[in-house]
Amino acid sequence: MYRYDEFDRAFVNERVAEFSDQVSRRLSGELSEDQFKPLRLMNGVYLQLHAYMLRIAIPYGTLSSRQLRKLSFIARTYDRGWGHFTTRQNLQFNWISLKDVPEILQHLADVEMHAIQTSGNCIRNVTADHFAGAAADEVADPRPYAEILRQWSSLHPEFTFLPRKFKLAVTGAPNDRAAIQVHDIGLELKRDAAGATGFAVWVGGGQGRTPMIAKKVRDFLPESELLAYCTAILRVYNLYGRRDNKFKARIKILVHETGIEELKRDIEAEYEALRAENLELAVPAEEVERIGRYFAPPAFETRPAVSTVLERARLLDPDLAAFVERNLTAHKQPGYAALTISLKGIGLPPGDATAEQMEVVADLAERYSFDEARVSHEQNLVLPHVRLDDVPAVFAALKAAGLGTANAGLVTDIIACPGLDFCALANARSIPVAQRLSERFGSPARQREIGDLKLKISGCINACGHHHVGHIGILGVERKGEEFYQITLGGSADQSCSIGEIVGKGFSSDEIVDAVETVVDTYIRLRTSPQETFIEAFRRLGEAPFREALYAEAV
Amino acid sequence: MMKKPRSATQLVISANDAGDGRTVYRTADSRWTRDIAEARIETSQAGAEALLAICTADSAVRVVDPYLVEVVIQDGHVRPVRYRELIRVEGPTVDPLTDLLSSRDAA
Amino acid sequence: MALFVNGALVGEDAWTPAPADGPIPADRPVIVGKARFLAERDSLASRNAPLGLRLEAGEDLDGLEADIGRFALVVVRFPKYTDGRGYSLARLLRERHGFTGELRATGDVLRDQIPYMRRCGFDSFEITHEPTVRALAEGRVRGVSHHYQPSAVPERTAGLRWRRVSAG
Repeated sequence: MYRYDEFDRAFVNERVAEFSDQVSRRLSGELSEDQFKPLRLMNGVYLQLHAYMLRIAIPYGTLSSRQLRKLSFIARTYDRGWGHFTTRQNLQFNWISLKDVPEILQHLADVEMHAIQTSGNCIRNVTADHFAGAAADEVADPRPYAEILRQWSSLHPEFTFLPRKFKLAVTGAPNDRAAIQVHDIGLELKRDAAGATGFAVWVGGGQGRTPMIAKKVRDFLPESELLAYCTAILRVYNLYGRRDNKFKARIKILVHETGIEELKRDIEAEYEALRAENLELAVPAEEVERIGRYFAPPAFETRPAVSTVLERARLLDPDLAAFVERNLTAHKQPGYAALTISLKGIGLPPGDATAEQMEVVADLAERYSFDEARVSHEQNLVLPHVRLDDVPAVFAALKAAGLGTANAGLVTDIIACPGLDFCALANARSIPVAQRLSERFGSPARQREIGDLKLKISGCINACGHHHVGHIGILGVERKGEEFYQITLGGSADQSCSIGEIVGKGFSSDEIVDAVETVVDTYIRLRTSPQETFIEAFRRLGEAPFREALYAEAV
Repeated sequence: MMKKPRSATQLVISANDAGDGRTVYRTADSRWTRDIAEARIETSQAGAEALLAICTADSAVRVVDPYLVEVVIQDGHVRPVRYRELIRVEGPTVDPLTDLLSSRDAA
Repeated sequence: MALFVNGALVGEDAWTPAPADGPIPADRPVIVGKARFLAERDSLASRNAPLGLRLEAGEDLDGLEADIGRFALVVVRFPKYTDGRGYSLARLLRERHGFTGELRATGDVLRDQIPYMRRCGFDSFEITHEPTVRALAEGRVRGVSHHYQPSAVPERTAGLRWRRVSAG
């Protein structure tokens, strides 16, 4: 993974000093809240319902054990002993005092971390496939490019006051695990016929109030053109994105209102002009190679594809067998697997981990995964490079720490935003709904019967729970002072990206769990076989049978 | 004593403390307290808005974004009407740490 | 209101805005808006005194490309500091159109944005926010000095390709 050099360290330390000064000026009154707010947002400091919330950047979801231990320390020392992993691969602490933030940022800087640009109308964390560098289906590791984009976008003088936030995601595999089509810029790493590396480029995806799937603007952008092209997109957006209405200010609206063809012409024209005048934006192969060396594959051992140790252990331990079936992902290196650590214990708040659990994962990463862990946008953790032989030991340790739930990708692997329990923007609570749903479907047999199902919950229209791209999505709203929940069906964040459709009128807090179960039971009743997944069945059947099951008059 | 009509407006001023972000309420003696029981209750919209204007002016350093919260008195306790405000008084309805720790202990 | 040009406080602004009604004075430095400039472009060519251009938020350089070299001053207005369009305008003026005159930021110009403005090519700032005036006068306005991308102003390179180091 990327390692800071002196320059990087100087940068982040300067930034900490600058923000410390800004905090002092706020607390002394020299800066009004109105003047301070965009500055603190640039450093990931939100003001939520109960306290300040700090959103720490985890670039493309990659962490070392040292960094995890520091996050654990911060949780214990400055917060209430736990943290929440987010749908953009970041970490949030909910009980922060502003006065402590400069100190926290210094602790983070000591382990090459920060909270820069995790909020505000600027370029946010560049996210990537959480199985990068490991997945068997990968064309190339997207993270060197994510790192190049991260650096380029850090305190970019031209793009710090955009009309609205701007999110980039990169995938290195045709199976898109980074949800690139619901990002402002989505990049798919690929090779052309001659073997040269480049990107398919999508623009204008996003969720929130008006969810939209991105439009492809380039089939193949050579890798050397990455920064010039992104600069062109950002400049067009900065100049022409709407500034009159916060809810119509994302680039997806610009795409929608201008039309992709005209916008593409504007982008291409700007890109051509930039190329001609600013050779400094070109990304030479040597630079890709230099950054790429930080992400070189670790020193894998040569091992057989099948591990007799694991196979034997599976037969003896049904819990391990279940874990292997769900939580291991095929690795490009024989004898290894990418291992998912579910943060979705049955009945527990999704995506949360205690300080102690962070330490456990740090130890396991260090010992069993070449000192590397990942955060997925589905709010789980990943050990990317685990020897199959070691899986029994890893599982035993996870289980003892309450981290061994074998539910990756199942209905109880719920994605949920913090919701009205924590968030000042929310209209309804999401965590208790997630917990009740998890309990309703909690039996392992029931979960297996249902199979792959992505259930995503947002507590308001900002869609931080990514409900628009859930196979089943739930949106919390406020109706006549009560919490109310709308169901959407058929969303998907992968390469077959689709936005879920609202199925009908919403459900009360008392009704919502039954309603979701009705949807699930309808699927089981109508699927062609257990091998037909929920999303496949939905796409074949359409909404009608589900709507009928939910709303038909009771006999 | 004249009995107040049921539908009488009762408003307090709430904000977040600028230093630690905690929920606070304006008292009668111009302090900001974490305890809603100490909040000054205004019984008219006009009075509440006047107080809000004062708060906004004099507390820009101490608190962030003061605003009006409608309350009722139930069994002698001051209680916000809106659910969101109730959560601000009572804290989150979930306690992830407790849940996570008890599940670990059960593992 | 204070005017800082190239880091120094300027006592009196040499420039005046063109009157709303009436002709543009021929004998002194005058700032004119985009619409008026385009309307009177030919007659302004014969002026001897310096000419300045003022761009409001949302105005772009379309139609002005051939004339950038005629301006000794371009003023870009920031109606609110969160409106970042001026940063792109500044870079286009400096880098695309080779503008070498005074590039002035006006409007809601605050201390913490000035380092970004400088890197985009602004060298002159009209400030009304008192604490910003004091900070500038006392030389306390400094951003970070390490940068990850080239900017519109010359900065020392720092080893690797896009890295720059400035005075801060």
